[in-house]
Amino acid sequence: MTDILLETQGLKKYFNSPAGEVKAVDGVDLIIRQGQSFGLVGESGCGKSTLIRTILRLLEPTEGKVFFKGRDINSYRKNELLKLRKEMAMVFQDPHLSLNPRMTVFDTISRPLKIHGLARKKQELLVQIVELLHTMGMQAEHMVRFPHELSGGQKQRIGVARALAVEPDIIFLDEPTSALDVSVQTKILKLLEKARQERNLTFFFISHDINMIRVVADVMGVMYLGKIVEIGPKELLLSDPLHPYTQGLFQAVPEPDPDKIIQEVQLEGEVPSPINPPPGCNFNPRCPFVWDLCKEVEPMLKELEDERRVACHKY
Amino acid sequence: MNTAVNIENIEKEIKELKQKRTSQLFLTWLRFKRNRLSMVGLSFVLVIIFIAIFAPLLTPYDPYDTNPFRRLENPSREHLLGTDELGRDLLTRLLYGSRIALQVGILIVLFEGFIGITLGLLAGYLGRWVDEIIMRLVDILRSFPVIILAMAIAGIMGQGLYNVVIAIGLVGWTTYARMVRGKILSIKESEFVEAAFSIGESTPSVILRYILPNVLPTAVIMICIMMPTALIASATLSFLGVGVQPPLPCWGSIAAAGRDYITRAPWISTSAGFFIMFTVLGFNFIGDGLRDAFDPTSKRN
Amino acid sequence: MEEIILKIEDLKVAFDTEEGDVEALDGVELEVKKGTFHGLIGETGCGKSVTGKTVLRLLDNNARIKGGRIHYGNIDLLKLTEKQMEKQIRGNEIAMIFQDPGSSLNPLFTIKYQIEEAVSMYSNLPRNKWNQAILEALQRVKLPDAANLMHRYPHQLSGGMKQRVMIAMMLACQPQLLIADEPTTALDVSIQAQFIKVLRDLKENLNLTVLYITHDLAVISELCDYVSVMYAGRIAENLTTRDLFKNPQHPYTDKLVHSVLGVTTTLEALEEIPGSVPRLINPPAGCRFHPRCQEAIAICSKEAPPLQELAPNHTVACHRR
Repeated sequence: MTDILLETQGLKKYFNSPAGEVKAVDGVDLIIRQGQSFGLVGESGCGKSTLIRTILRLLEPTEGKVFFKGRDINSYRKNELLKLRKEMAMVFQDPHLSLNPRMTVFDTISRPLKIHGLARKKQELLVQIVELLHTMGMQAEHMVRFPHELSGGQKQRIGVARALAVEPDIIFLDEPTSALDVSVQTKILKLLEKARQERNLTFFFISHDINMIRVVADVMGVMYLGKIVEIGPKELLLSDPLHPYTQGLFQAVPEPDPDKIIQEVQLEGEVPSPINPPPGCNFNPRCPFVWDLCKEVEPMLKELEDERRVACHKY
Repeated sequence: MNTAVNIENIEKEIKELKQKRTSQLFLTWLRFKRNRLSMVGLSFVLVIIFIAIFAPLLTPYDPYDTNPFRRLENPSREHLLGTDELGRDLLTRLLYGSRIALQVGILIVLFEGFIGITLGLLAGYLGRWVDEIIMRLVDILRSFPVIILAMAIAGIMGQGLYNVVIAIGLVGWTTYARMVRGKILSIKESEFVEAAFSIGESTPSVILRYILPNVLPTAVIMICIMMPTALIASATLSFLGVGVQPPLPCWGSIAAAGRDYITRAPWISTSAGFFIMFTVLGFNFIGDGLRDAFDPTSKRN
Repeated sequence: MEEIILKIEDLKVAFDTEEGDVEALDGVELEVKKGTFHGLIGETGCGKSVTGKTVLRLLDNNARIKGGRIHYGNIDLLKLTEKQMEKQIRGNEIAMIFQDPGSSLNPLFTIKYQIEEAVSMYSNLPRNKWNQAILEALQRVKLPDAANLMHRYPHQLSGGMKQRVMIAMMLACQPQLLIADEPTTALDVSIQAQFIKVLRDLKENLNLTVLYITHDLAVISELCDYVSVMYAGRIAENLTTRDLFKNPQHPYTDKLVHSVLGVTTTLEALEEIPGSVPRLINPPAGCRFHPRCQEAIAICSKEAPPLQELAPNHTVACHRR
């Protein structure tokens, strides 16, 4: 068993809105181990984006703790936060929006290097940037380009290079391929995996695309309405999902193989509003196995065998 | 690995590439050039600038030389547009008027642009009560008729060229502030600003490197678009007698003076009006052309 | 022999842009059989949406149809005037639904009002039957509590519900052919699954014909009988859905299918297509896929391959087949 790199305890992030308090992240307990590739799936609005931004302290948490290498991140002072920015990096969803349109590739990648003092002279910068570009399968000539002169896939590779530049311990990837075409997605995913192995990185993917997570993750989590409902090793989760939401979600994924029998969808209805989530288990209005208990008592994330955890009264 | 050699090669390569690539500005110019109307506007403005610079060479007369014996003469070979009520050559005064017009126009847009962009930046970036105060001030100023407010300010501060600039600028900055604030609000929420924070950029650096460069084109376009408004406002003030004072040759006051003789010498007011229209139209076309050229995503019809 | 409801022949469309003419469609050929779901797949910018819009002549102002024929039954749609399209084709013969259902509905009117309006324009139903028809249509698409729901406004519905309202509106007008342009792309997986279920149900019970435009091969697999694969403004391959996954012939189709997550479940097995999609402002000569194709030979860079029949219901545009 490898060391715990990141742990959240009861992490909450609420937003104020005119309609009331939005419970975007509502008590998340997670453990990410060194070298893992963790994939969190959930539908839009389940709070996965808010969760990673709260962990990164791009958003201030409402409640709860985040331990990184054993130390509570929320206790970091401002100058220490800069150190955190070197240890955790992020790759954003839409490469068309996540690069400054007025900066060349050189400027974009040199910023993190300069901020964290990893390269000062122009020569050092060049060496490192060329190396990073090569890692991402790009050439030195791309340095002088502006984002609008690159294709979507190239932009995202620059986004990854920017994240790799600071030599972080963990990279958070927010739907890194969802804005890209299928034929380009593969390239990004393969480059990411290669970089992870070469640099001994830990990955934290979030996505609505179960097929993508299935390919890249070792450990998978499922999030619903601000809470983690199930978490466990990928193979076990895929072959034997325990939580009714996980089961429904997996069945809803369109099946490309025409030989497989198409299962009937079980997930009826829609995700309730996070402003006023249902009492008890917040999945109970859509759950086919609902008991009276589910409507009153919120299930805890229970530890089962094989490193699996599930938040459901059935188990 | 001999990185040293590599790096030299790369540096050379990059230099070559930089020379080869057409710069952003050049591309913008190409797009601007293709728009016929904006080229017409540019030529109008160039004509006015030419006149302003070479006015003394274009006319043998002095704009201030009065001649009580040759008042309100009809256009003739000697005086192409005739003379005004004090016997000064009208064309000369109109030609020299371009100096005043451009000077006032440029000073106004720079003055109101500076205030507006600064306050817009503050309101947009800082938000909360700063935004609240600045934007309420904008609302209040914009609820007055601009000219009346400027007249009041000019009335309090007295007449004169610089007071016209201040009077119009103190009202005109609201347009810039609104525009810049709106732009900042959208940039502030954009993913690349979030990405900048995620790599450890400080707030001043984010403003300087990420937000400002993206607001700048908007500001430049704003200034060009506001130029005609400034020209008209200053001409209006002069026409109403609270602007640039005679004997300075100013199109607005020439038009106002000609009003008294509109039946006897209609060309006085109309030719002054023509000069105003010509210049305003020129700047308007340029402004529209620039907006399209800077923003290639906007659809061309 | 099944009846062919829509036949597109040698369709060419160009867009007039700043940088010059973009040949968005360059000789598109496909046939849609009555009562089937026909998928049209391809990556961003391949021209699949343009094809759909050209059928209904809903293209932007800067587009020009440069040639080709679109046979609908025995009418050539490209020969009709705008007025004839409006009166005879759009809505009552061929309907279209778009990716963003929110922008297709008017926020100021109730669902019922909007469906009524569509029915009054496109259907011959007598007025006293309208209510019944609307209610039935809403129930058909499995909208819960249809009787109450039709008095609501669009903003009171979720994205998935709005998309179903669009389908219901279309059903109430009873067109012969529906063109669906990425209708589920903006929806969540579970909502998409519900939507697909509704469509599948309609296919079985109403013998609906649909031209389904998407980039998602998995959705194609769940819904469609036939597929046309587009690449850079041309058809690469027309084939059955089964052949798409089991017997793809065009190198692009083959790579595309194997780069889809879900068909392939390990990272190592995922196929990579080198290079990127060409820009249509200056497309490669010959076969437009040849710079990325591992099987390319000399002729590929010189001549564009014509679509040739390999087997019934299977045509491919490749010099190597």
